[in-house]
Parts: sequence; C-alpha cells; structure tokens
Amino acid sequence: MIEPEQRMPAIDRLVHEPARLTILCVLAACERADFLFLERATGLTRGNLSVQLSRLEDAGLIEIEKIILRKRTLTTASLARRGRQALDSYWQAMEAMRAQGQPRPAKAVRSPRRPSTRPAPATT
Amino acid sequence: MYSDALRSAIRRGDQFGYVTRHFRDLQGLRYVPLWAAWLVLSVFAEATQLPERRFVEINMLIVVAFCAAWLPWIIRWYRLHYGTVTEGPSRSDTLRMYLFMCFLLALPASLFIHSLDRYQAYGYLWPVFIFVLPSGLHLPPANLPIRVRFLVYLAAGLALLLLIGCAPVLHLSVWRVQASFSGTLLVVSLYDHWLLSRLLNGTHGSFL
Repeated sequence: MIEPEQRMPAIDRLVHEPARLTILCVLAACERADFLFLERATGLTRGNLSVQLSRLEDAGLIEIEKIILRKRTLTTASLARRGRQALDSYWQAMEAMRAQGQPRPAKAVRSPRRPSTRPAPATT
Repeated sequence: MYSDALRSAIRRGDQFGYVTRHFRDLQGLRYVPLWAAWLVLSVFAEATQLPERRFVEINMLIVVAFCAAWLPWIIRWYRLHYGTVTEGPSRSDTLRMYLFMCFLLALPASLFIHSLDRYQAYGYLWPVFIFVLPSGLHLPPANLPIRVRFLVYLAAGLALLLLIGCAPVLHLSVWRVQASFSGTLLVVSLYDHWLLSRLLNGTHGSFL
C-alpha cells in the first residue's frame, strides 16, 4: 500500500502537454503576444497552434483577442489569471515530484563490529 | 533520469521567458546600419585626415537618416517576420527616451568641448553606451548562446569603458574612438540578431 507521503502530486494534464506548456511559458513572460510570435517561438504548425490555443481558451487559461489592423486580422493571446495560477501550480507540482524522485541520503548505519581476527597479545 | 528531464523542461521554460522578455533587445538589426555607418565614416575620416570638427554635422546627418528611413522599416520587418510582443509599461522605455534626448543634446555640445580640448569630446558616446549595454546584462538562463550573449555584453561594456576612460589620456582622435566604439557595438548587435533567429526558429526551443 502506498503511503500518503509517497503519493505523486497531481499534474494538470492540460498544462503538462508540451505544446500548451510552451505557449503558457511564452505568455507568462509578456503581457500579450501575437499568433506569429507564438508560431515562431513554439515551432508548431498554424493548425496545431490554433487548436492548442482554442483548448487553452476553452479552459479559461488564456484570453484571445482579434483585432483588425490595416485590413488584416491580428490575433493576440494573453495569459489569464487562472492560467497564471495553473502554471504556477504546475511548476510547484513538478518540483514536488522531483523532490520525491530524489534518492534519499543513506543514513550512516554503524556496522556491527566484526570479531577481531588478530591473535590476542600474549600475556605473561 | 526523471530529474534530468524535469530540469531540462524548466531550462526550456526559462529560455522561452528570456526570448519573450527581451524580444525587442534581441532585434539587433535595428541598430546595425547606425554602427556600420559610424564605423565606415570613422575609418574613412581617419584615413583621409578629415577635420575632426566635422564629426558633429556628419553624425547628425547619419542619425537623422537612420531614424527617418531605417528604423520604421526595420521595425515593420521584425513585426512581419517574428511577430509582436506587448510588454507592460516599463521604466526602461522612459530611460531610453531620456538617453536619446541626452545624446541629441550631447552631440552638439561635444563640438564646444572639442574647441576647448579635442581629447575630451567623447561625451556624446556615454548616452549611447548606457542605451545599449545594460540591455544585455541580465542574469542568463542555462543556455549556452544566451550565456555567451551575456559574456559578449560584459566584455564589450568593459572594453568600451576602458576605451572612453583612457582615450583622453592616450590622446586618441575622435574618429579612432568612434570607430572602436561602433565596431564593438556592431558585433554585439549582429550577435543579438543571430541569437534571436536561432531561438525563434521553433525547433531549438520547443518542449516537443
């Protein structure tokens, strides 16, 4: 049976997925970033990036805004407060997991004294 | 092994944060023509023994051409190729504006100083120094090219401090000081652009 202290912390699967984690990390470092920057930073295809952004928006982690700028649609994304909390919790959980995964330092155990094989000094 | 994977993920997270936070600072091509023009001008002037008193007018012309023609174009080019990142209002923007104004005032003032002592006329380089160098001196995440950027900025900063500090003592001409100054900043700016294109090509930085 697993001890409560040995249980792994819960990981948010929505954040844990690499593409979405990348997007969240980028957005956490700025106020707002546009679609092109996210595309360049994450290396995702446009379709994949669009899907991942929609998922994050549906979960309320990011906010997407579309504006018309010089007859072109500019899509920008920003991290919602809930998204920032989710990202912080995720890193905390990962840190906790790392701490649990560390090998515990071996306690110094005193080995039982072996019987001496030396011959006892002769007494006269 | 798991710990290594996690450490690697954290490192990549830091890397994304770095490139996003310093996106504008890494746009090195913004200033390349200014440094290149200064370098070419200084080398040419030194070689042809152009009178030192002309440096203010020529530098002013270069700065005006740079701000009017190059800067709007390159900002648009970066926006179309790398996208845009909006940062919150920061004190560094205000500081940069003040430094630019200081530079515009210091350049003509240098002419007056030059008439008093020709080896003390480098004052206009100080605002440029403070404008450019601190942008690269941030604590870098564990990524080799980003750490190299930090070291390049540190080395350039020390070299330029030494140059501006020692130039009056060594009796270096304005053209020679400006050539060394702009040559160093040219290298720094080119490295910035190379780093940006490397970090934003999508494959080096991804968690995937």
